Amino acid sequence: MTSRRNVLKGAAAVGSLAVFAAGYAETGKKLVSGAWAGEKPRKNLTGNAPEPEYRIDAATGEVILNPDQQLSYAQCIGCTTQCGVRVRIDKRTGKVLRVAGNPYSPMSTDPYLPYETSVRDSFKAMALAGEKDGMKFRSTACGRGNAVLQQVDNPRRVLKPLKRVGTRGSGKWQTISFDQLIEEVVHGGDLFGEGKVAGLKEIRDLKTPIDPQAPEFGPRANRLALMNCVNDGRDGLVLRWLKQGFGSNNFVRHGSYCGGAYRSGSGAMFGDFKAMPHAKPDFGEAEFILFVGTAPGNAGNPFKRVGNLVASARADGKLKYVVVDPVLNNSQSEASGARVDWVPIRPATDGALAMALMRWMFENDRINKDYLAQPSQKAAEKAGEASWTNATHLVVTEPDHPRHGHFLHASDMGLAFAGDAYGDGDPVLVASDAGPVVPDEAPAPLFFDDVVEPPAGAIRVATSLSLLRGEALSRSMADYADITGIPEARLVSLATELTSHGRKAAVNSHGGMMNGSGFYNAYALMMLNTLIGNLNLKGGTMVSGGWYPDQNGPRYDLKKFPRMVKAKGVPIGRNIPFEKTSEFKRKKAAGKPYTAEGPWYPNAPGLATEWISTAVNGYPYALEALIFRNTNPVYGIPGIEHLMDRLKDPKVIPLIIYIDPFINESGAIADYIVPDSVMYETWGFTQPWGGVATKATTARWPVIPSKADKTPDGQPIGLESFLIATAKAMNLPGFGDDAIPDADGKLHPLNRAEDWFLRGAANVAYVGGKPVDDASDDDIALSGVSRIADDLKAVLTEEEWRKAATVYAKGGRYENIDRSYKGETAAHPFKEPMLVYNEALGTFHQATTGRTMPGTPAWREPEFTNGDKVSAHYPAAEWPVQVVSFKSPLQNSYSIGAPALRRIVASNPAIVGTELAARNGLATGDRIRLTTPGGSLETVVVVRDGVAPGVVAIMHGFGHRAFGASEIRIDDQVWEADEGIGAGVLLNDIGMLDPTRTTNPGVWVDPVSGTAVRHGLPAKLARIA
Amino acid sequence: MDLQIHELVGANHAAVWQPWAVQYFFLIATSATALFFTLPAFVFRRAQALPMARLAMLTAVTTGITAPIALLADLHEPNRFWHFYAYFQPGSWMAWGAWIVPAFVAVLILYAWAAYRPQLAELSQGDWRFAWLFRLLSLGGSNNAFTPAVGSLAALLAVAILTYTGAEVFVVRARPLWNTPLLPLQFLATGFVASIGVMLVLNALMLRQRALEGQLNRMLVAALAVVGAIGALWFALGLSGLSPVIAEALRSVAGFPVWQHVALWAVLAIACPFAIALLKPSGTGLLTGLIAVHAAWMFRWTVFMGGQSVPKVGSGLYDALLPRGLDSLMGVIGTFGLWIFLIIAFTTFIPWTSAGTPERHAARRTASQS
Repeated sequence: MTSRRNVLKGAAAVGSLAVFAAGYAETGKKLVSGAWAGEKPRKNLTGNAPEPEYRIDAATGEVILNPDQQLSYAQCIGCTTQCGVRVRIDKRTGKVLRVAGNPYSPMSTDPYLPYETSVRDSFKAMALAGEKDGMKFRSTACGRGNAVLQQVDNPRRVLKPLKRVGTRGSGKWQTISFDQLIEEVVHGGDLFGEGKVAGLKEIRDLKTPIDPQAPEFGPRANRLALMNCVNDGRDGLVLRWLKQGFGSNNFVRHGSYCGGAYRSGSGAMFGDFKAMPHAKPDFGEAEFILFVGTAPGNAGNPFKRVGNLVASARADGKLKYVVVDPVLNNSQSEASGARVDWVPIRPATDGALAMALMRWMFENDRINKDYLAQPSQKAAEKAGEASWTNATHLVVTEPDHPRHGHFLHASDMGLAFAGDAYGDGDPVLVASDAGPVVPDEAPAPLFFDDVVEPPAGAIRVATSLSLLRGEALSRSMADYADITGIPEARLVSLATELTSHGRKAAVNSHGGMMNGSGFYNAYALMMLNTLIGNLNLKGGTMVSGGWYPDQNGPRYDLKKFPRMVKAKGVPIGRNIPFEKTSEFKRKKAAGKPYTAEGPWYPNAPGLATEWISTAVNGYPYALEALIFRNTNPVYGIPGIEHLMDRLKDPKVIPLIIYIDPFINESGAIADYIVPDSVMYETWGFTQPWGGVATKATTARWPVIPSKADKTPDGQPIGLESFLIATAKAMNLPGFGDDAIPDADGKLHPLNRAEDWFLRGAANVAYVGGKPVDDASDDDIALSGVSRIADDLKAVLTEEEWRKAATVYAKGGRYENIDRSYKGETAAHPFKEPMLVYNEALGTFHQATTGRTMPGTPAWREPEFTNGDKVSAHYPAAEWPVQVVSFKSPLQNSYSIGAPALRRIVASNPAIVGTELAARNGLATGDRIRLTTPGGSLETVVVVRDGVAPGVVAIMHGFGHRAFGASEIRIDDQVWEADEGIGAGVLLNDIGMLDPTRTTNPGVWVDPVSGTAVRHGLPAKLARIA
Repeated sequence: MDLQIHELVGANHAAVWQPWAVQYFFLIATSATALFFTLPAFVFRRAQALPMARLAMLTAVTTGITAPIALLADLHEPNRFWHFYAYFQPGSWMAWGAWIVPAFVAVLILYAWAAYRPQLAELSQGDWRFAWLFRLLSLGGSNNAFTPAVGSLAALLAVAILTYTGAEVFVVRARPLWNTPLLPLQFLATGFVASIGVMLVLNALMLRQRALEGQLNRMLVAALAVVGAIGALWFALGLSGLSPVIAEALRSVAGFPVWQHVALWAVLAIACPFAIALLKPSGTGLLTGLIAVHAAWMFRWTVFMGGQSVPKVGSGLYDALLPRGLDSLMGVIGTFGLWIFLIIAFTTFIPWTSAGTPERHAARRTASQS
């Protein structure tokens, strides 16, 4: 062996050993660390799962508490359902460990516990030991609810006030003090080196009109607008600040880009376009439910409760249901066999489905004539009906008659009436053999369509039901089959099934109505309920049982206060009759009354969709400041992308304030960010949206302290402290030392959140005649209310505080389940008539065109504002695909920040049906470019059955650009982008502007309800390599 | 409609068997199959088989020692390996493996020691610096007549190794890619490809014996033919649907471009060395050997990491098939480091090229006694 060879060998040996050492370093570490490498779980079987919060002694049945944990009944705000939940807190770390259900709350439990049950007994009830009893009061949170508690500790949570550095939307921020925040937003100045910005105090001018030529716009104060998401139980204070304090009339929530079309359609039937009441099927007692454009338990709040009820009813009860939707979703259950079915439908044609069912019902005498024939409340009561309708009321149908579209009143016929013509004393008439008469307490004719002879000359009139029948019969069953893509035989079988269960059948809908004919589609679907007469009935449809309100209660008046302002003026959603504007009067004088510069929506609530159009166009008037509070229109409104350049231009809206713990897409374009409390750190009172027959108020209280920074006076920085501080800086009424009157008129302070919410709790505890019982010391200790006991004692009276403590100890106030029904009817019925014909709708003239629309449900092809059919602009030959949106059972639009959820639902490939895939040569995993007239996006496809022909479906909740999807910089700290947060695509990115809105551009909305369009977007797709 | 399964809720699972497992299966199969090439010379005492046997012994011992160390590293909690012995699970192939592997390695080392004992004894003679070490190593004697007996036992244990390593993967019913009796056979066949490949490379680097190279290349051709045949059989069974499990396995990967590339790669990795070794068996040993080693190694990577990239429930692929950066490959590289060190140590300290067939003393003694 030569020495050179030895050296080489030696070197190689040393080198290979070094490589070995490097490769095995991790193994070595594991070996050195002992029998357990890394973190050793505490338990062999249960790992690091927390210890049980309590145990029940098997022998004595006593509750043995875990001294290291606190169990509190609180509320989840991981979605809009806002379930009552129980929260387990590690007392040593203050961290929320787990979330499950509150057994008192109908949102989480069925049947739920009687409210008198002590907190200790509620613990026992959840852990009953007898056979089959273990699950009796099982009370759960959903997957999302369990995951989103991570948001509390989300590292991307904002804890200090931020101010933008550089241009809007550049993602660069600096932290500022709370005092600087208040100073700058209130007093304005040259805040960004871009010129003077008016502060809130200057904008709060209650005297100067926005436009002297249009006094109806109201004062300059209206140029501050506040966008909210959903009432999470804190809106009372927001509205006090904005409307009664600041004096702006511009407040809106997210409904118009959520499920607003459904609510508007329902509101048309329930006779209230502003509050938009809606009924839900009595899920547990119904025999047949037709779900159209909604997925029970998956979409259509309250998700968890509906899921629970429907799952039980289809398995153990008597429920059969059919889901009609372009996309087969997880509400279908193979295990339930023939009890559950799915019917695919062409997007946006649900109204044609409803009208087809109606046609068949009219033709086959399957409408509930006994019910519909009752012309008044009294007649209905006499007939033993639980509600009534205006089906028999006569409508003037004489063309060009000044009263065309209005009901025929006694005054029209020269009959006796009291007070003003068309006033309350001037009754609506029904048909009779002797001509139109004032209805008495007997049934009236259902159908009448003929000429009558008032003194002023013959006019044609028809009953509401005749008009509806006319609409239903205007197309053949074959036409309806052709429009919907549902075979005629299936339409007939659906109608047969729906009308084969007496009144124990129901039709339900929700977000699937967000299309270009959504309003009429929803109105038509809801009318099916009225035609079978199921309202207020067990097994039929029922409205929410109501709640124990926190604001207008017997102890404190949180609704009124000295010096309060009455906000007035045209809201920027243009949701008032155009006829009331100066513009109309000017144009009428010029002979062109209905040539408005943009659409108006008198039959709609406040419209966030239209706010954007107003904000960027300044029509009817421009904004000076906009506050986003816990909301995200920039993510949520389809087509908004086309308006973003103007929306984020400081010359268009000089001041944008954003109140939220996380920076979402809307926060990204703000000037100031006000951090807020998260989930279990917040206060509030909410009520179920529906689906609960009894009164229910869910109380939310900070079971853990807010992690946000503190104000100089020690309050957590958040919504409440921001509102109170700005109110004081502007000297707004209703805040400060003498703000809240009690029942005797004595004034109490409003200086911190507790002043407001604890008095609300006293109202909740006392409202409705009999107050709740006092909380015992045991209730207070077991529920962790001891945490706020000192505040309760300080704010409330000796008599009040233990009652308010009960509300918090039990996570709210809930009426007992045995109060759901009175016999066969709902205990809390809806009292107003169902409108087969809606007069406001039937007399509505569209501001831009002057055209009118039917006052009854009707099938209307999706259209643009000027009445052009969408298919005329974008013919199917060129745009063969229709895009629809659907909800994830777990992800929503603001849950992406929770890593636990991303591990389960990480992205949203486009769902393509097998037929469309075959036509385009697509296979799962292929990439496509999906193009609508509003833009295009690229995504991966999943090919599957269960999608209507020609449909591409995109799940909502992905394609984020904010929340951490893009890099931001705060001071000298960089928050790096996380591609997991930005995963997937957002359908709204290919949403459309309305091509017929040429003067003041706006996104495509339903022409009546002004709601966004995200179903049935015309599209084409191309496979990309 | 056809039955389709679409996950509504899916979870991304990290690969549980890490690249170390690939190394272990590669090395242990190389060791076990190499052992068979030692048998003609060291068990059956055929002197003309000695060159190959020496190379095979070097291969078997170095890979045999490295393999369990790789296996240990794959355990997420290496210090708990003793649980295998404290809590025996007779129903688990892996639990049997915990006994088979140390037995095999121990007997293998004993076998090698026996084979080289005369040479060790020789080095303990004389007055040189490390004579004491070799006295210790040779246990002060040179008798190795018991070598065939130890070798036979080692061969038996090699069979056990090949059985258990194949079976413990084959039994996983949730993974159709693994759950086929063809898998243990293919492990065996590619194991031979690996050991022949290693011997070709070692021959090319250290011995440069043309005759041996030709012989090894011919053996490689045979082994690759078997591998190709098993692969073709698997594919045919899957494509025809004769084996539902294989058909499912094929379906689970067929649609993915990355798997199509893997398949192409596999065919080339078999066909190229096959063609070269067949057409030009001389002078190509380094090339055919390297490709063969790579083919055998790649097969295991594909089976283990690729197999884990296919979700048990759900669609798409997990991120396991392709290595993710240097970190995930450090285990592989580190294992090779140890192996190369052992080769250097073995070839430096043991006069490995001079081993002869075992002595026949024992046999003679038996004869005289009879």
